[in-house]
Amino acid sequence: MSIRSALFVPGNSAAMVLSSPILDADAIILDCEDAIAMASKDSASLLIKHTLMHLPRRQKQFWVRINPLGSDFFMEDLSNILPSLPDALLIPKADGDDWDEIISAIENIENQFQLQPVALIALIESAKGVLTCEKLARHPRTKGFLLGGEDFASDMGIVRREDNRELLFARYQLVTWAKAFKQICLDTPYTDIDNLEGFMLDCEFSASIGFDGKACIHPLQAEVANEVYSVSDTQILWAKEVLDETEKHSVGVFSFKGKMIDRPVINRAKQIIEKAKKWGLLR
Amino acid sequence: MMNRPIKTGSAGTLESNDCLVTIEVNSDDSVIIHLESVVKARFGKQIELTIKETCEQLNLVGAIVSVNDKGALDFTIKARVETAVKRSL
Repeated sequence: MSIRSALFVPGNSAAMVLSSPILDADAIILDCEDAIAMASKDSASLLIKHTLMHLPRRQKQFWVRINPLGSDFFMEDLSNILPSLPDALLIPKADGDDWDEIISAIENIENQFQLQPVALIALIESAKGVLTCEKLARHPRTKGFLLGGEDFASDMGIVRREDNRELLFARYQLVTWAKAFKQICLDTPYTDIDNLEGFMLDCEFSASIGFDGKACIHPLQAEVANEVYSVSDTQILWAKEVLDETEKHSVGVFSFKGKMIDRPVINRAKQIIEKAKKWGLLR
Repeated sequence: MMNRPIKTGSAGTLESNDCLVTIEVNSDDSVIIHLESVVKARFGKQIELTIKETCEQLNLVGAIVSVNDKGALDFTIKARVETAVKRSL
């Protein structure tokens, strides 16, 4: 799974759901939770079910953010949506205390309908979620994390500033646990949709500390995220040169353009080429 | 098991690409479908068939199904009919 941008789309808007396959995001997150009024929860869940069953969708991933465990809609969401085969479920309010119960409920329905296990992305949006993410990262059903900065700030009783310094610990904690277990890690949405420059700076920082991509709340944000979390032409050229040089040397370490090249650098070059292949950037 | 509405239930909107579905109690066991659509001349029969098949899959009886379609695709119509039926039970 390789996702640079995951765009939230309200699950009850027929027009937005219908147009989502052509939007410039690696994943679409059809939302049953925060974007949906209480009176429309049943309607959103069923629209998502029928959409996933009928929409051609192999060009990109379709995830669904269900309602949380303990809400009136958790089981109904699972029953409606799991049989329609989403590419992943985004589990809100995830923390180490509830993870086993959530997975047990999911596995009951998977067994009932004889479904392949769906990928599970834990949405970490509380202090407890941040502190217990190790348990989630170690769980074999967990495939990744998404940081929910607004709810996390609310849980902490703090207000996010533009540079998001309040999220530093949560970001480092989450991305480090995710990387330790080879899982995808997506950064929190940036809520000022008119400030694309601020959004880009936020993406650049989170990319620099290891996040794979960003949750987006506007299609324009997805375009920027795809660029920032991607690999540049300069990086691809460097990686190709490093790998070409590596083939010419039989020793483990050598010098290239004045820089030492050893195993970690060669691995980094391979990662860049792999990403470029995934996103169709190799010429 | 048959599903018979006991109250009026509706779902959907009158926005583009959507439809508004209303289920009302009928005086007998039949299911009567009323369709208004911006594309009725061209796709009316197909839309009515989708509504009818969805009602049958839901085992609906004794209902008047009114659909005001604003260019919804089949899967949207199915979702809105299913929601409206469940809300009418």
